[in-house]
Amino acid sequence: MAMTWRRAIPVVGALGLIAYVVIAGTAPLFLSPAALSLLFLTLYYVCLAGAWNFFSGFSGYINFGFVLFVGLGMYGSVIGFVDYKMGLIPGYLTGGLVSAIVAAVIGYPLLRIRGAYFAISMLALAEGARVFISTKYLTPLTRGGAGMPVLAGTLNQKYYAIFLLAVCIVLATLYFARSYYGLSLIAVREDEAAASGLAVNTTAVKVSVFVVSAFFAGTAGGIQATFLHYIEPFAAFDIKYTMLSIVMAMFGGLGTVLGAVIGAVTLQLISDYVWLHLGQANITVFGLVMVCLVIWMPDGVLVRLKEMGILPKTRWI
Amino acid sequence: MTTEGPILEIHDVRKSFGGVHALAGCGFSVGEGEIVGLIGPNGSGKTTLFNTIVGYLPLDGGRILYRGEDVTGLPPYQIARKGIGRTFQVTRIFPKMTLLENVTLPTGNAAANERAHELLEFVGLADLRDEYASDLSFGQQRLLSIIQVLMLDPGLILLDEPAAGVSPVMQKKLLELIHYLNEDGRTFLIIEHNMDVVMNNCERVVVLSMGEKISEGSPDEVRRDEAVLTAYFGA
Ligand SMILES: Nc1ncnc2c1ncn2[C@@H]1O[C@H](COP(=O)(O)OP(=O)(O)OP(=O)(O)O)[C@@H](O)[C@H]1O
Ligand SMILES: [Mg+2]
Repeated sequence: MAMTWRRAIPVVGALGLIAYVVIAGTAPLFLSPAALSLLFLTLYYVCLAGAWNFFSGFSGYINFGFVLFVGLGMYGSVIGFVDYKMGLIPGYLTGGLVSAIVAAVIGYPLLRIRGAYFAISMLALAEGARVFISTKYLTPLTRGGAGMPVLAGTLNQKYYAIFLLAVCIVLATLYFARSYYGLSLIAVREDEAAASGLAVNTTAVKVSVFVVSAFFAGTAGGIQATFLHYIEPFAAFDIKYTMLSIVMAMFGGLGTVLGAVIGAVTLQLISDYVWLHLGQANITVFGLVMVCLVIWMPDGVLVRLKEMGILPKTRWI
Repeated sequence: MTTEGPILEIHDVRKSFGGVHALAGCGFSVGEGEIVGLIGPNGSGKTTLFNTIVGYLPLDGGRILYRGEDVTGLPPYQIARKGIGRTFQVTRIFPKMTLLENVTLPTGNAAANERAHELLEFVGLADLRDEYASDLSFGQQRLLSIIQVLMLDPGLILLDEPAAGVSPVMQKKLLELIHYLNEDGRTFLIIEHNMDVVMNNCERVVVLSMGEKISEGSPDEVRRDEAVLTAYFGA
């Protein structure tokens, strides 16, 4: 009995995933705009949690300033749309590029410091960016606190954009996790000094993956900005995006391929339900989920299943 | 097998931690193909010397040459790529990586998989290849850490107390492995407290005390050296 139950989990999980991808991929054909918007938001969080996990889940360097890359991506693409009249895809990619460039610049100095200092520095940078965006130096570009309205793309286009990005992030994670780079970054998380003694160029690995993670976050930010039709500093650099990304990635499984999907879909469902029935208590429920997580499965569902032998201990799940 | 020039030359290396002179100007060399023992009382600087050789700790002074090339100040990954591998006094493997992942990490290419399988087979861990390294016993982790280093295809292997805390059976296995690899052309510098192990397995011994080399020679010579007896047992 117990044996069949254990075997059923991977099968049910795989079928569920396939069904989800098929439904999400064809949703605009049969969902109402309101329902599509809910699904859009879930996929947006799949992207954010996936981008966060891409670097932090594998490396163990917890990025508390992740929203920096989301917000920069929003501004990058909105400025592209509004001031440079870019097309949809070039505009989104510009957002990603802006974040990637900033990550490349700050990555080298920041990733040489360990753990808590990295987390705090990132947090400070994200806050700093929000303030800096509205200073008079940048106001000509960013319109400061007044914010920027943006009109680009139809709901369906934006939906397909976020769906495609989510698929890309998961596939990129799959490729990365199985590669030497992925393994190296896991080794950094496990024991950074030992990894460097075994010929791993830890700095190069950390910085390059950090840049890719920022690119994904920035692109997702750009898509979200067009979905919201309007950005301003507080909304673009909202710490909520960092927090939700972390909680979702942690819930699903740190340093796994599918953890971000499981985390974002599950928690977004819970959140919608709770929002409907409990209103503002939403955030309290998230806090409770967090506490339970830390106690029972600190590395998330998938990692726990691997440890229990229900899933194979491979890097491609 | 002792021929050619030295594989490792250590020239007057110095390293202090605050007021503690862990290495106070120490120098010796290791010949290609040798098994050299590095001994000395607790706190004499043996592990610190390893840490400086592999680039974990910057030196305050002195130079380190590997196969005639100055490697002082290079980052650890470059030194590893040149062919110096080391194990730790307290074994450090990657707990939440499978055995196979632990072993393939140093090479960075899939073609090395075959060699990884061979090595796991060789030390009797092949059946556990897809399990996490955290599941291994202490002695098994030791073996794993040694074959991990072998994947670097190192010319010089630094072992920090390989025989400490492992069962006699495992100890025998380890020593066999060391001699097998030595015949295969690899040089060893081994820190060891167990004198029987040192006397029976090393061709030459270097003795450190308070960060300085106080003696060097064959196991027999060192054993009879007054300075060594003083360092270990007091005047
Ligand atoms: N990272 C460090 N910071 C401060 N002091 C250190 C550090 N590493 C070593 N020391 C000091 O340097 C001296 C030499 O230590 P080391 O570990 O090299 O000795 P050892 O010969 O390996 O001893 P043991 O046989 O006990 O392993 C000791 O006094 C030790 O306390
Ligand atoms: Mg020591």
